[in-house]
Amino acid sequence: MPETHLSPPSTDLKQYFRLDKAHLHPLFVLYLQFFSSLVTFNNMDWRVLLPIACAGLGCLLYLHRYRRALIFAIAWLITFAVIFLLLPSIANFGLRQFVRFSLFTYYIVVVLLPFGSILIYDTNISAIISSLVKLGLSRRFVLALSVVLRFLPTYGEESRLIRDNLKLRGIKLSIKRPVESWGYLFMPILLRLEHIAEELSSAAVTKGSESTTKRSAYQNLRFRPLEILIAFLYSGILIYCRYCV
Amino acid sequence: MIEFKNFSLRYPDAKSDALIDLTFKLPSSGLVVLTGESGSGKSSLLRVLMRLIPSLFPAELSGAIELDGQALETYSRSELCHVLSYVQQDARAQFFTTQVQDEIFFAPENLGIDQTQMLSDAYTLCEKLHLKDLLGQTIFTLSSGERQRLALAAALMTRPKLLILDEPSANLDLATIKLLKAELTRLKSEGYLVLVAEHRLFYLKELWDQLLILKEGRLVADLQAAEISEDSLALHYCSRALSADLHCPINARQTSEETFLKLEKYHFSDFLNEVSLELKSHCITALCGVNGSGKTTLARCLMGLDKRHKKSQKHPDLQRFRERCKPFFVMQDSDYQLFAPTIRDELNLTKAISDEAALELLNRLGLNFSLEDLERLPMALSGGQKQRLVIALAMLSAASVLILDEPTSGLDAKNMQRVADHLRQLADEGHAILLITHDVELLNLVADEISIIAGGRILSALPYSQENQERIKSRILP
Repeated sequence: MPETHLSPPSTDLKQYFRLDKAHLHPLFVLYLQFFSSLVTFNNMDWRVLLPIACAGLGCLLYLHRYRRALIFAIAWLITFAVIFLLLPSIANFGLRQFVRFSLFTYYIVVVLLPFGSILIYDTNISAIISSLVKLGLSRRFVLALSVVLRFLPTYGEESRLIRDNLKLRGIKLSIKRPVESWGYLFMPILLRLEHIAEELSSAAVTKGSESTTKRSAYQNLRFRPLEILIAFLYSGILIYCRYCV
Repeated sequence: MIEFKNFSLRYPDAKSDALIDLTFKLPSSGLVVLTGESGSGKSSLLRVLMRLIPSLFPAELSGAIELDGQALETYSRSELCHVLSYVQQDARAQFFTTQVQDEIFFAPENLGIDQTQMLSDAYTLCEKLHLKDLLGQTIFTLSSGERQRLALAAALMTRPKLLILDEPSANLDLATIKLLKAELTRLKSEGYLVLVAEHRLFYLKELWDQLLILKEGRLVADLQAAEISEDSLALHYCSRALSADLHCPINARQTSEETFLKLEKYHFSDFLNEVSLELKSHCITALCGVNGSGKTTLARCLMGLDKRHKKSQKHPDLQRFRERCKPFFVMQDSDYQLFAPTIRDELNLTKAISDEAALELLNRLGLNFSLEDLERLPMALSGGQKQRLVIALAMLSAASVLILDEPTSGLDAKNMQRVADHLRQLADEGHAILLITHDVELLNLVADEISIIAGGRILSALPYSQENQERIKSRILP
């Protein structure tokens, strides 16, 4: 065994590793997202969507993600304005229904995306894995899910590089040639996805993700009383808005 | 500590074994270098050690690998991770999390290591590897050297006996390689066994205790430190140079006929200040600088890729340059530059070309394909083949200027020489080439001029000749 190079630190390690920075328990965020999805199923009333949007924005502001909160708020407001101000003016019933469906689909994604973005960008993947494994989910399934979550931030960079190169090669994507354009854009992305998935899987395995030992955590992963309270209140508000208003 | 006994490996549907009858021992501490040409089996050997083969990459195995006298396959994954740690070639690809400190703790969390021990170990490693200022950052903002240090720290958190490094110098500049060498020296002195798979041997020659040379899956040499020399290496393997010295020609080539670009005091945001650059026909201009100095940013500006500052993009000299010379950018990773389902279609995307002409073009670049090969998926080619295909696209596009970003990163000596020959051929045909590189061997082979970028500034180019050798040396060698 090599001589360890470790020496007892005198520094406050919580401060050193910023363990006291604002964070949300991954199961809390997952619960908000899951419950919101359940309640909005087949119901697109603004009285239900409004508290969901507020919760998402509230979480982002708590995490000091002001820019992202602003982007979501603007997207939400625009969609809200189109649905409730512009839509009633469309005379054709079929067209109105089509636009309503498209917009509401977008609306729900916009409303629920804040929680998703928190999971991808602001939550430690390791904490997500630990939390889901504690719920009794299979470790392999959780690992596969975390590979997907890990890939999503990379996707933006990958597609940017591919689009840059399409431009450099003079290859123009055209709506008149959808199949061809789709192939030029998405085939490289899919092949890169395969490559990255292989690399991430190798990384996960070599870092002990297949170990059957009980996982530890460098951060304390306990629900805070406030998170539990907010989860209860949120559930109550949504149920009330869904069924009683 | 580790012993291979007549170990062989064959991938499914392969015509021959990837590893053939390997028999050797690794000591319990020290630095062992594993080298060989591309395709010799180095990666397969490392994957076998980490048991990625056969768990993630199916293969038939025969023979035995023993770790401390016990068969490797009898170790549980948890036990193995406590003993072996692996740093992949592309450090970014191996980061499983997106935050620096999450990555440091990921492996010990998986192994259930006590929180107090984890925090204590992490503190010491962060101090020793100068990672404190990186805590709280995402992995996407790190430089190559920073990624390397993070990968090392993450690998050392489990207190392994054996640390495996796969091409650790591939994306590093010379100054960062010097730091890497210092780290390896420290690890060796602390009693670790470090196994380094490498093509670039110059920074390891004062450190290695053992050298293993693979050729076509066989172990052709197992040399102890005292036995290793340029002659003994040359007996078994065409290796990269054992020194990173500059060897400039007596006189620089002076055959330029036309200037394609003359940029003076170009400014781009906070990244580039006072950049002066000249690209001439028949001339290979090397662009050197440490990681993060602005080389790729400059290349992107020349290609008109950066949308952040439209005013800079409309620079009149650059616009004229792009319209007239139609520059072609060969990226470090060719995966992003291939789009078509077949090689034939890929070539025809750039310019209509008959099959015969296509085969002739590809053969000139060492891609000895047949008619059937034109149906192959470009992305399924090997890394070196993809790179040569992209160069073929550049030649087909009638670009007068080629910009290449680290074309020899991770290449063995033979493939590096091949790239050098192609570049020389292209320059002799009249192209101007801007070559972004850390590779001193490549510079020695092809550079006509050298521009050094530092802090976003290039002041002037120097002819790559003996007259300027000392000046160039003082600027690029740490």
